[in-house]
Amino acid sequence: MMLMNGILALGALALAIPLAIHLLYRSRFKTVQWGAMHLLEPVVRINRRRIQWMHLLLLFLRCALPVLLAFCLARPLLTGFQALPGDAPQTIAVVVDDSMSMAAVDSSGVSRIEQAKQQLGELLMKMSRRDEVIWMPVSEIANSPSTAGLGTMGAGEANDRLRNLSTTMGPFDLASVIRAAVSATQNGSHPDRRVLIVSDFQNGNINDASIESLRTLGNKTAGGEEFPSIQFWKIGGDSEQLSNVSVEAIETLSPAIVPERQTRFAVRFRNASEKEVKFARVTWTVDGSELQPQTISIPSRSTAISQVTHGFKRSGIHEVGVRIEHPDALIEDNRRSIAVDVVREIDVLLVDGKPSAKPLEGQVDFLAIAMSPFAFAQQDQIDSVRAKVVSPNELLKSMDAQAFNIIVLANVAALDANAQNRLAEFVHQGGSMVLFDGEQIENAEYMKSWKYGETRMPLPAVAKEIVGNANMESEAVPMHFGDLNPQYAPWSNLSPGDQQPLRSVDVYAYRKLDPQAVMGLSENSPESVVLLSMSNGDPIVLSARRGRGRVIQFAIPANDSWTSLPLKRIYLPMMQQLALDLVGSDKATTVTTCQPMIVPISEFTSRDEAKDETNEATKELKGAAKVAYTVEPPGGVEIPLEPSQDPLALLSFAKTHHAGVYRFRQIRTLSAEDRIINSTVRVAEIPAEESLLRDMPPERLTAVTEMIGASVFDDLSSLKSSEQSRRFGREIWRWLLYVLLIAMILELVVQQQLVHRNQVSVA
Amino acid sequence: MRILDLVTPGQLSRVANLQLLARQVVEGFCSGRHRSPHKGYSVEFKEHRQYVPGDELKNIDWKAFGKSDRLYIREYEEETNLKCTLLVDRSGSMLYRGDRSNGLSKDEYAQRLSASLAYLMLGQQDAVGAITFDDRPRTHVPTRGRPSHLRSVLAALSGPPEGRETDLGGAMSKLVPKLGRRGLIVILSDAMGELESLNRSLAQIRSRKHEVVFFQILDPDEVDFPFSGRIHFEDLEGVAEDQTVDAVSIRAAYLDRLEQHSARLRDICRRNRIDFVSIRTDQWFDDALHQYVALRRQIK
Repeated sequence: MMLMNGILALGALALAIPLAIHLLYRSRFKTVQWGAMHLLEPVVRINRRRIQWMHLLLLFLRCALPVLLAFCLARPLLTGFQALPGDAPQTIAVVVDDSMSMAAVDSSGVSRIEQAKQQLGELLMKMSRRDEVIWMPVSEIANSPSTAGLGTMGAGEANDRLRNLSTTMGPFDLASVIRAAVSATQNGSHPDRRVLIVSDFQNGNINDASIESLRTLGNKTAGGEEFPSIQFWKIGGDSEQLSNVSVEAIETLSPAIVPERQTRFAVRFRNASEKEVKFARVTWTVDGSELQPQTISIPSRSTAISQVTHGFKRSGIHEVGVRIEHPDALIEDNRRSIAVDVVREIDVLLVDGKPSAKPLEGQVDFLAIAMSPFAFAQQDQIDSVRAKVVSPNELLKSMDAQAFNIIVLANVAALDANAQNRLAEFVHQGGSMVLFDGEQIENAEYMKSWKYGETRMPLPAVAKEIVGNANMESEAVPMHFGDLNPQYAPWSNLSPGDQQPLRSVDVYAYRKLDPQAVMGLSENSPESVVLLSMSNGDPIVLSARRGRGRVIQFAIPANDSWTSLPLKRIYLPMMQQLALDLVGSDKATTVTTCQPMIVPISEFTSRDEAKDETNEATKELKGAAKVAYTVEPPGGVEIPLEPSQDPLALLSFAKTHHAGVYRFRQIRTLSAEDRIINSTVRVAEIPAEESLLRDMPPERLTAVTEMIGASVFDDLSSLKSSEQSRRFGREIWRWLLYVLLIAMILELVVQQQLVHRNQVSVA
Repeated sequence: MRILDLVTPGQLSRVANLQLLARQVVEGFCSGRHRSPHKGYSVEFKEHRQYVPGDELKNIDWKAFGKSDRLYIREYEEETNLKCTLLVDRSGSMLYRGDRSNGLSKDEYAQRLSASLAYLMLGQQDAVGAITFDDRPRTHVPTRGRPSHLRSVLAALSGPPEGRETDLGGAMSKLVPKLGRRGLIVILSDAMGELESLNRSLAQIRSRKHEVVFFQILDPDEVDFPFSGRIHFEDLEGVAEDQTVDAVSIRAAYLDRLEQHSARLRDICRRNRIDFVSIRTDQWFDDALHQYVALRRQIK
């Protein structure tokens, strides 16, 4: 035991005062000639022993009072509870939950993050100058010192960062956070290490996998590995009482968005309160400009959907946002945005493997009509797809002359190695290739082994023999397609209300495709997905991702030689949707906060400029220009970016901690006064699960703490008290104060027994 | 025997003071009380009753006959002289004098009270005698009705106390044969002694048809025990061992003991049909005599 104010313990010598008074009192008495000794003598004889004990007890209590008071003021510490020398500096990993749920405001009107800032700031300010802090907000766990080699800092700097902290993060995995924090403390320079996790501990922060992970971590601790002390500081705890309305999701109801065509968007609101939301104002925004406002009512504990239709004027990435005006506990989730890619007019190159002078006798005639119906009908409306038909010999020349989004090979008998390489590179850079079958495919070598430089590019399936009668003889019995893949969204709504829109299609022949055979060719190639199959289960249309692009492989020709599909009404929307899907799905325009944003440099190139790529003057001008790239996070300053050096030339930005619109810019400086700035946007959003305010069940939190030997604290005072005990030993002045109070009360009681009960009331 | 043979001149002057004091106090009570002092005759009218043959004619109330035309006999209550014997406790415990007792010890208070009673009794033409005692009878003044007998009584009361222990029971049992024919016995004592023997002695007195009044004289200090701090109590009777105690710590127990003692004494008096009067020495004599006279009226 040690005393923090040892000098004050000398006050215990004051016990001599009651002792001296007692002895003095005993030595002085008054003599009375007493008559009623007949009454007094037996009273004294009977009560003498009791009175002596009471006097001794009173003396003891009166001596104890100054001793207890002195020791209270001296602040004794029981060093038996001390884990480390009290003045030893410590390394503390401060993990602050900056997820959006921490912005929830309780009945006091103060958000959880503000409470954390205030109290944690107080804690940091009281830390020793020799202590070091590893600052680890949850949103920056990936950049923690253990992985990024960042150093430690003083408490003052950590406090500065704390003040600037904002709630931008989505749900996080508690196990990952604890592991990262424990790992980070290994870099600490002091032997006294601890991890302080400040969070509201939502239910979404832990799952069964997390618990297993923590159990493994706990076993390591039990195995004797060096392990820091872990403390959970729980903020809030009243999530179930909070009412919240949130924008849960925004969806595009079209597979791809092209300029001048109306696109439908839907937003889903969730009302997690017990009270119905009536006529809340909903505002849609496109690139920051508000559309016509709407109102919506959302029943309690349910969702509601609102839709809007909008046509974009220009291609590129656009931000579509929704805001609902309703006062609730978590205002931050009353708005949400997505970034949509409005693609330019889709250029499709149709390579006809067996052209014909007769109408609709070629391999791609039906397909060309399906891709550009307005052009075929000579109408003024704009087709979203612009198709160009060439022969296999003109393939490379056409690719050199123009950039295409999709290249369709229909019954092409042969492709030389150069063409195979060009097409493989086209696919790996993000282009899409569609292969239609035919009788010429039978001996096509490229279908067996597609050359891609020194390696191979496996197709979605290996082409096998033809099934059925390819000559469509009159006595042949037609076969039929099976169901469309319901998981493939573009074809999921081809014929609303009709569950089997392809049942009327007669299939006389198809090529047997074996997707399993591909798996052995390349281990790195993603698996193929069957988009359409025969009624017997044989795949008809397969899709596979290769590089950044996709390859679609049909087991039937693009014309009506084997099937009646091109003659059906459904063929047109089917091909249109396929083309739109192939073009529109390759960009991650909306990412979750803290996930990296990838922007290809080619995205800055406008359509006109793409055309001008062939212009020599333009090339020269571009070559002379100095190009720089920047990104502007929401509410932040522009940050310069360096594109990757690989052929794909990508811009990558990982510090997407804040939800909102990130503007990427390409700045071409031609001269001091002449600059060309192209820009595009990406949106970072917080997952909707973060809006579900549910505290982690206490039993689950307890299980977690038991696994890793952590402690849970509800407030700053209990945390400080525990830390005080851990570092310096347990302060017992409070206990002594209680004993002192009890002794004072006991002294009064005993005195009452001895004195007040016998108080003289002389008339 | 002359009074100067019994007491010194100083004592005599104290007796004279006592007489004067007693007279001043008693006169207020006796004014108009005895309009026709007829000794030995029944003069006190009690009631009328109807005449029956055989009654003395001289006892017929003719005035009543004249008014009601019926014969009534007047009946009178017999009156006789009262013999009052004062039994005065002069033990050591009676010598206690507290700060609030007007400078009088219980013994001095008993002297004055008994003198006042004697003067009162003699003023009422009653006979008065006095017996002092501690652990045994000490002085005995027989009952006489002469006014000059007062001096004898006072002389007996003013004798110096010997400071012996109190033995009420033993002393009284020895007094019983000396009390003569039935009369009024007035006991003045603090009753600081063993009560069971007192009970027996009082029963003996009562069995002889004496009417008894018990004046318990207590000092205020003995009633509320006002002491504080450490007190060395010395026994005035020199019998019990001296006690040095913290007065405050035993006060409650002492008061409980006093209450038990007084309750037992009252119970003894009630059982023997003895009038019990508790008097504190801070109480004036006229109050004490008021109590006595009121008590006597009730007895009558």
